[in-house]
Amino acid sequence: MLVVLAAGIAVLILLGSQRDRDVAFSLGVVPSAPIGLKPGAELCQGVVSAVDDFEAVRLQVGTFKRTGSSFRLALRAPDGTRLADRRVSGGYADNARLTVPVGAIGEGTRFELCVTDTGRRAIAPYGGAALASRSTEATLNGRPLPQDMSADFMRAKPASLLSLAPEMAERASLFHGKWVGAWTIWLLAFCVLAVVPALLLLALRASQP
Amino acid sequence: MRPLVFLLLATLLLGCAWALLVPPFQAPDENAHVAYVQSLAERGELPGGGGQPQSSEQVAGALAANADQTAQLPDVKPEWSTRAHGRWLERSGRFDGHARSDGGGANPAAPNPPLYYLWELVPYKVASGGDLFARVTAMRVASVPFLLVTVLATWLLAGTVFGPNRLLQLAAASMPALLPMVTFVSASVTPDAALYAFWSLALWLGARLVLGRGGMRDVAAIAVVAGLAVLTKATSFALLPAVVVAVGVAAVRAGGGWRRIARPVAIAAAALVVVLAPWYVYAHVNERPASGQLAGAAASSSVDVREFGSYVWQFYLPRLPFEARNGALGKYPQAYETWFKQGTAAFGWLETRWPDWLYKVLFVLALAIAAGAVVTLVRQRSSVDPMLLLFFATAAVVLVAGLHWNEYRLIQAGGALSNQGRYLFPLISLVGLAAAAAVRALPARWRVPLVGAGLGGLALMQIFALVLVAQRFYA
Repeated sequence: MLVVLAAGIAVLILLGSQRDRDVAFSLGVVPSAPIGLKPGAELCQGVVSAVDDFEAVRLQVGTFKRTGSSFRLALRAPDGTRLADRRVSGGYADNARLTVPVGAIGEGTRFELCVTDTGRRAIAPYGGAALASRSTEATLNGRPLPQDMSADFMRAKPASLLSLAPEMAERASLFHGKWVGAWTIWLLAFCVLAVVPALLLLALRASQP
Repeated sequence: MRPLVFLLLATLLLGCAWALLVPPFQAPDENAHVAYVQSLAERGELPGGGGQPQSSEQVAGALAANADQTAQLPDVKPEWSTRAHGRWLERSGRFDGHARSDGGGANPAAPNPPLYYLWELVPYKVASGGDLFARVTAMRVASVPFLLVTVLATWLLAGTVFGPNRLLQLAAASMPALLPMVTFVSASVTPDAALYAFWSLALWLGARLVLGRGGMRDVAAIAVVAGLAVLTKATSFALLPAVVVAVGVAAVRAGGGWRRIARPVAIAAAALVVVLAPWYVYAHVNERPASGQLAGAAASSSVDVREFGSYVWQFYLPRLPFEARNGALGKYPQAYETWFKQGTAAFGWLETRWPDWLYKVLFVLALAIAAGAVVTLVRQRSSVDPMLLLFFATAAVVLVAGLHWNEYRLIQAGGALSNQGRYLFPLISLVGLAAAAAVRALPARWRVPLVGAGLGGLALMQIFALVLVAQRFYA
């Protein structure tokens, strides 16, 4: 029993230490429908509250089967302060997933994510149904849209699952009642990893003829 | 009894881990079941009347936790922000009694009988000083004792069938105790947790009766347990034919003329009536169905039996050249997807899964266990009681047939596939028996190491499943 468990946990640690988690968080909008943007038009999604640090934004952009037009991606604080303003050159493929560096943005920062078509042809950032992100809202040239824009907010360096464990414990403790904290999750993790195997070992020993 | 105590403690810890790790409302229909309990607790009424399906408090809570958006969409995460959580707590403190009691409308759980939900009133009331999610967590934890009953009943069933052999009993009881899907479902707010417990108890009591180890108390007990199962979920009507078989076999085997045969049957019938009557009278007086109705299904009279047979055939076996393809069924074999994959690991609202290759490995292991059980059955054929097999087969076949019948009627009415792997978990104690039988097929010196490896493998499945769920919702 211990051999099986030890081997399995070793595999788990190996998998968990791989640095393959590049998305810090996302708006939770599945990119299913492109939102058409004419030259000069501005599509915004906000107000987003960063739940983790990030340094780039990833978007999927449709170009109607033509070469992609240039656009500007900006992050603006609710008071209008520009937190980031990056120009993306044209020439990318239709439906390309583009990662745009925006500099270091800290956890807790509130901002609006805006895409402005600065080229000569229409582009179409992908989005989904308006209900997909209930806490934020999309606008096109300032008018509310019945859709939400899809965006992933990327870490500077991919993280491993193990390195995210403290944050995951904190997140798991939310919305379970005030008496549940990250400590509860850690305690249960200890129980599952150590106490449960010990109890099973005792059960096996006690059941031997 | 020490191995059982250790196993129950491990089950309890795993149940609590699942109850606290899974985000609120990220278990099948949990939102509807919570709404049912809240309607009972805050309005003193069963749901299903006018009004909104969920209270304003529950709607606001689901919104704050991003629960509805997260369901079934692996890319969408629940609310992570501690600030958003703080805002929810602040807002929650301002809710008045009306915000908790303005639900009670129709929802998918509303047609269910009330037994499980009455049980859940206790944790709901105990945690009523907390916010909605404190109550949901308390209700989840209060579901876990049903899992302990399921494990205990499986242990007892294995003891009844194989005799007092601790190793075989441990092998059997470890299946409900450690299979991650059973723990996941049993540690959420759902009557299924109680359903598995009552079915497992009934199968144990029935085995005692068939094997001549039960008396009149067992006859009354199995009828009471079957009645409680029916009061938990309408699925349990499928248990009644097996109860009839068990009581009938026990009565006939007791012998002594028609009067002595009629006595246990009368006791069972009386016990069943005593348990069920109050609810049926209440439902009749209040003009509501006493058992869940299959919403959106075609009428039984409009069902083509030959077509039903073809649907069942194609569910399990390759389509025959003369059969029309049943469009509702997915990639062949549908049984593998529905019963095996969803029964092994399909967490959240079925969307949180392992990689495909892992199911294949586990399927091979499951086949090996089944083969081992068959070997034991063949070797012990002279001592195996055919009536016991009939009893188990009745329970299994009637449940599966009922599930297919319901699914077929839903398909006929233009619906999609409705069965899920967890619907077979009322038979989880029989899975445990099969595991124990497989262990018995092994040479004696191999049994302890292989049960140990099995326990290690199941514990590992639990750990991998919890990590899978943690990374799906929180990473």
